[in-house]
Amino acid sequence: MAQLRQDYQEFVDRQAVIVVVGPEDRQAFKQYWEKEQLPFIGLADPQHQVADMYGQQVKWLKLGRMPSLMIIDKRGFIRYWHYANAMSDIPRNQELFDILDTLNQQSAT
Amino acid sequence: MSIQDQTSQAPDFTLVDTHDQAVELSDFRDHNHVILVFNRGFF
Repeated sequence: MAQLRQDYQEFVDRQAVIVVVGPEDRQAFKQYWEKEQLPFIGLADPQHQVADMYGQQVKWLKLGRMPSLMIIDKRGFIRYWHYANAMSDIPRNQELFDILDTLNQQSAT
Repeated sequence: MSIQDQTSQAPDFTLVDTHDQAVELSDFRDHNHVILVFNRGFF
């Protein structure tokens, strides 16, 4: 997440919010969030409610396994996803910027 | 990967954020794109 924080303003400039869902209980999650002073929206999901729901969605989309990151456009459609791999959990920021730029251009036409 | 068409709606959900406020995914509709990160755990 450090890389997302590093370029946080660039995401804001592209009309994106960053929402992080984690498996910790609410208190542990909040303590970590405040300690790290993360600017993103942090959502504790200790019951795995959202993780399970998106896991089901994954099967419906025939993705094979749970993505580590998704981009959802302003109309609520899933437009991009990425799987965690051995090298890194999320894609390079530039790849995300390019996608956001394209979404913004598409909606402008 | 390339950008997907607008065919799959993201399932809506509500969770509580670190300011103890309920956040619903559809709150962002018409306002922001959402980069949704599934973190496997901090510790």
